[in-house]
Amino acid sequence: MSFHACGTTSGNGNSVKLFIIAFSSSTMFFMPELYIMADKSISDLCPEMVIMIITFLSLPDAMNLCSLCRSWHHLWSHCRIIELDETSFPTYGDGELVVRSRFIEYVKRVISRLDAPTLSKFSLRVGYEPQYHKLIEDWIWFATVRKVEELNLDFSVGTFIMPEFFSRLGGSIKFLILKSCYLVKLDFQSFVSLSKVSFSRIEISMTDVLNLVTNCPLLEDFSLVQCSGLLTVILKLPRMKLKRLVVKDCEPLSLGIELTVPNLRYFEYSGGLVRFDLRHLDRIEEAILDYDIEIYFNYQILEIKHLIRGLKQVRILKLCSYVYKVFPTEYHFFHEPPVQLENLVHLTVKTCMESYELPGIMCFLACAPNLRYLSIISGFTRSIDDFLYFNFPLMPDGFWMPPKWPLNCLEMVEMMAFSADNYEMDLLKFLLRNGVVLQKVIIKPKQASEKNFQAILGLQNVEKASETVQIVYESMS
Amino acid sequence: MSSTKIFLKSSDDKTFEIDETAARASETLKNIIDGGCLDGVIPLPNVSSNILPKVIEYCKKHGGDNGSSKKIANGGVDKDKEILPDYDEEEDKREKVRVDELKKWEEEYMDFDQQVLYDLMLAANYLHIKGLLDLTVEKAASMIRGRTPDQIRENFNINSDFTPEEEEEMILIEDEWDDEWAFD
Repeated sequence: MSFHACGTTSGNGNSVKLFIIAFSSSTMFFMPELYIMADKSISDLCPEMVIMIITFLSLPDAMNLCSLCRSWHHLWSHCRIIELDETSFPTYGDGELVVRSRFIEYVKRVISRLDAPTLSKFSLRVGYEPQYHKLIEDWIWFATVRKVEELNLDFSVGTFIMPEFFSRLGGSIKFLILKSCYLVKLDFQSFVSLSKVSFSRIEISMTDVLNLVTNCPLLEDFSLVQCSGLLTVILKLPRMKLKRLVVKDCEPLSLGIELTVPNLRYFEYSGGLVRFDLRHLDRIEEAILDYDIEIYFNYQILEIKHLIRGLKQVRILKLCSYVYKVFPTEYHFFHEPPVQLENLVHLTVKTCMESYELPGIMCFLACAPNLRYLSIISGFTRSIDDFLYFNFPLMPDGFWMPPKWPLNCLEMVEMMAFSADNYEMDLLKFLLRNGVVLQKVIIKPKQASEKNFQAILGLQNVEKASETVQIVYESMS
Repeated sequence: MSSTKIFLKSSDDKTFEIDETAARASETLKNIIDGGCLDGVIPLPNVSSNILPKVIEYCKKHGGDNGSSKKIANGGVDKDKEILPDYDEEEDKREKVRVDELKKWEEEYMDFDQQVLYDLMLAANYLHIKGLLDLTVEKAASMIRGRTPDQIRENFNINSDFTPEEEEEMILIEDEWDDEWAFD
């Protein structure tokens, strides 16, 4: 069997032409004619290949590339990653409204030139004004009919009412990021591809949340940030794929949060102190709990025990000051760990480093026999009101004595915002005295001062259980 | 698995051997094989002997599978399987290990200079190897991302086809948003 190749060439050796290979079996194939010659570079690529590169570039990058060669000048219109951000638009000293109107004109021109049949990303950040409503609706239409995969809309000033057609055209969207919008009649039935959703500053109800999680079977990552109107977040969906859930500064959440999501890997909560019911988080790997407001709720020891038990599978845990104040100190008084965190390898402690948190912190060390990394973020101050409402746990006698539990996995301790106060020093000395496999203690002072420097120097001379431990000074970055 | 050997001849007349299953990673070669042309040597007049071994290395790694690690990680999901309540965690882990291993391989594989990148991109396009084309084009894009026009020009040694007057004008345009030229 034999075959031969034939074709035509043109002045531009890189242009794609049909190249026909004929076979004795009379089968014919079409191949692009692309000659490879030594010492050529990207600038020798044919427009088709440049367009391929452009599909991987965002609009500014595509424009930068296309400004380099006359023959590429209009190729940016094939860009599929459209990011339009008013805040990075030059002001030339003009006021906000003038800049906005210039930005809107710019977006109009860009969109009228875009040629790509599909879009990977459409991101628009602009302060909303009613006079631009129709235009913005048209742009959302433009993106959704081009089967955009990532839609990111941020109307930082004002609130944009999402158009009704949006609820029908979400089929291609995998990532949906909305800020400062009203969702109108959005039941998410058409949003079958959604895998990541982030809502910020949006009024949303538990019904909307339920519609979303039940209609989007591929949903893996869900964030709610500064959303209002949410009384509760109840997700009892053992079949859900959801792996990441973030609830940050949402209000009022007066009925608390209940989660039964066995596939959840990451859970982050910050905001007011609310009731939690965490069950069957069988695969949870990382959790962050951060209560900013600690004033009007009583400390409930049983509730916090229950909460931490719900997270007993975690490997990485970051907890705020509140938890240490409330966490039962039975261990110190009765030698009974309230919960076992066998998988925990990295604990981050956000703390004021006051006496009333230390029993809780110590109790966590006792509960986590396999802990390898301990990060302490020191230097938080507490509201005066808090002192008026609560009694604090006591530090029992002999608190800094050698522990009755093993501290034989801890390899690294990092203390941030160090200010050489007594409790910081006591805790570091305790860890150095008892951490038998401790390799490194990194100290990042809040500010460079003689006191901090001397305190760190002083640590070099304290008793150490590990011969190889290094004490390292680093500046806060 | 078939272990039929295929012979590929580079533009400079050197012959390379590849398993048929590996060759099928290339749409172009797959069509030729399916067209019943296995007893001869397939000449590839557009691929030199410098680059052909690199292409063969990619095909060997990917066999009949046409995707890059990214594709495997993000796409190609079987929706029915995905919504099953108790998906196999072990399988999930194995898949993750496989994707990680492939990513590492791709990282090492893609460690080469610009000339190779250029040649490999053209070869992948010519041989219709979608995964390799995506990888090389993405690498070229990553060398452009976040850079100024001057940096891109320098990086890729791009010769300007503007007149000196136009050049002068372009230099004055420093602001990335000031792109009136784009709307000419």
